[in-house]
Amino acid sequence: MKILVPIKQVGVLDEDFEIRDDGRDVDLDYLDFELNEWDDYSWEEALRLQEEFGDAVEIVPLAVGPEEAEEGLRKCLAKGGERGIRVWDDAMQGSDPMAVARVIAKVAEREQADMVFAGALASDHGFAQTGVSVAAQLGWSQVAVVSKLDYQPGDNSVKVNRELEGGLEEVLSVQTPAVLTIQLGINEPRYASLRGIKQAKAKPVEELSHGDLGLSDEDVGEAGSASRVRRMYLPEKGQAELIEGTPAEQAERLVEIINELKGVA
Amino acid sequence: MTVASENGFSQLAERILASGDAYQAAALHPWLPMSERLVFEQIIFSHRRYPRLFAQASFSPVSLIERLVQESDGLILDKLAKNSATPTAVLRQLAEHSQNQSRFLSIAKHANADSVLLASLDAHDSAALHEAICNNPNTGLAQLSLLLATASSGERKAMARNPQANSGLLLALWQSSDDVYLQAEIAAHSECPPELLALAISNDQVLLRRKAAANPGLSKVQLAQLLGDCEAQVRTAALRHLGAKNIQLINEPARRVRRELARKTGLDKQLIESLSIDEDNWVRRWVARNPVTPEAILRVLAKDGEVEVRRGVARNALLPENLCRELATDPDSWVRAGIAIRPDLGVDTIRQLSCHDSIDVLAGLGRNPLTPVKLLMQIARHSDRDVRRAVILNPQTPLSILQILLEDPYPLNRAQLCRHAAVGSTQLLQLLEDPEPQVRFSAVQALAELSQSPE
Repeated sequence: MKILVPIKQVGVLDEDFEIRDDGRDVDLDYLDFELNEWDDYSWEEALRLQEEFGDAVEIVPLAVGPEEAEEGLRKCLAKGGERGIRVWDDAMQGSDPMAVARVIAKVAEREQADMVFAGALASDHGFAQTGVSVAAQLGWSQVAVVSKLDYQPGDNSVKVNRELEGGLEEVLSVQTPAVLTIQLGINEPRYASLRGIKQAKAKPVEELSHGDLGLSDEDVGEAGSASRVRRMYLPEKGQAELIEGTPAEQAERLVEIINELKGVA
Repeated sequence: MTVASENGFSQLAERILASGDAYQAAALHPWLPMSERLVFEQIIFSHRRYPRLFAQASFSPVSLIERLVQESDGLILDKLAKNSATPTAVLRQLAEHSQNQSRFLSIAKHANADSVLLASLDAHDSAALHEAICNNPNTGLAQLSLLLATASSGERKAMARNPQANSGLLLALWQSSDDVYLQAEIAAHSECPPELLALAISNDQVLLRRKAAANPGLSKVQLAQLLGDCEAQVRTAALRHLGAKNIQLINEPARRVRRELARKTGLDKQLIESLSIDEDNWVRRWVARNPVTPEAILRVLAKDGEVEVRRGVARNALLPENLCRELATDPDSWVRAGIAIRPDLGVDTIRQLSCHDSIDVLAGLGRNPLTPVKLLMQIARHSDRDVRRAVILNPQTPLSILQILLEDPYPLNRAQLCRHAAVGSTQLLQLLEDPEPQVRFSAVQALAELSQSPE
């Protein structure tokens, strides 16, 4: 069986930052990039299945992004897996989760993947849509925010747990092939060994364009997106109160606020 | 290649140049002669991300900060003004060549801003700036006095806290307002005029008496008066500043006072005995840890139902060896861990502790200089990164074990290795190839230091 694991290099905001001149995103100068935290967990879950079942499971990380996205792929490959895939070209700039999902779905078909493990969301934009949209594109089953996974290669269903409101835990059986979006805390992601990091540099990363996947210019980028960022801005400060004064004054004000909230006169 | 020579240093510099690594170049920067820095700076400035990163990093060498202040990028200058490593001279440069209010504010808050620099900022009319100046402990008395006439309520309180304030200024502040919070700050100040301190001690306001109780200039009579105060918070504050001798407070009704009392080393046997059977386990745990607690009481506390009390006994600096051995078999691993980090362990006790697999116990043994090499070797192979790091933090860990940890998957552990005295240039050179920037940075720092030490 083959598990495809889409990953993303997410932007991390600097302490001080500025919005781009077009007002639609943060100026790149103020962003660092790192592997999306959720994707670290989804890759670890795939690694664990591969370690448990050996050659019966192949795991492949996939990045939809420019050259910098390869760093995330190498980070995954340093922990395991033999090859990665990166899809990008200029026409894909501005793709929203729907357009990215279209690309991932095409790769899943091309790879004849049996499962897709995606992070529940990406920490930079937080749509939580990509995995769901991949399932829709493929017509596969889908479970969001998976906190536990029980699967035997070859089975036609997978058992998963989901955490619900009020501490409830839901156990589901879902038919495969399936797309699972993985929640933080499902496992404890490992650190790559130094040997693994060195070996990852030599592992092949296949580079594809949208055309290689049979997609047209209208399927990707802003043309293939269902949404478009109109504006990004910092809203005015809300009702929060900055408690000022000496420590004794601050403590007294804090007690007042707590009493107000508790309804104590 | 060895770096403990001029030739070795040159080889290191050449190697860093060839690598094109900004982190290594930054780490070597302060060690380079001025004439050679330019070529390394080209690496550091090869991408605008790096100067910004080093401008905000507290680990950046001063030489590099002095270079960065010459940049015109406002973001770099803002970060330098906030960086705790930025020296006074650079802060002065930043202030001289800026019209930026938020940058002035960062400088006014900076711990390295001296009184001359802070006085120069005073010309900028901004409430936030004035408050920051009043709060900065480096602000001179003359400047504080100048600011007094126009000071806001917040600025006056900041002045009253400022260690540079003298009795004259504090008196003027007291006379300027009836604000009890301002008076409380004045009452706690070591330079508080005696007449104001006397007023505070006998004041109806608990806050004033509590803050006055924290004043190091209290006389024995005043302290005795406050120890008899009706408010527990006042008695606690007074007790905290009481010397070690002649403490006689029996039948103290307030828990918070008894907790403070249990930490004191000047307690008589009767008082220790009564505290050792206190209903509050925080009181018992401080008695357990108190080095003046007699062995007989420690023996009783070592069987206390509360884990933290037994842990307190385990951490007692003067714990007798027989009790130490006994607690090494405690059913709770947190108590055994308290024993594992003791600097006075016997061989038998170490062996006993090593039979358990608790992470806390193994981390304690890993860090203990008395732990035998064979056991350290086992601990160094533990699956938990914090346990392995304990071995790295042990100054007695031999190179043969540290060598295994050069391949530790956890980057912070490899960075810590660079600072271990047993790690030599061979290992540090290996760490120059590390994928983690912080490891490479630390390795270059250690190599550069080695190159300056006698062979």
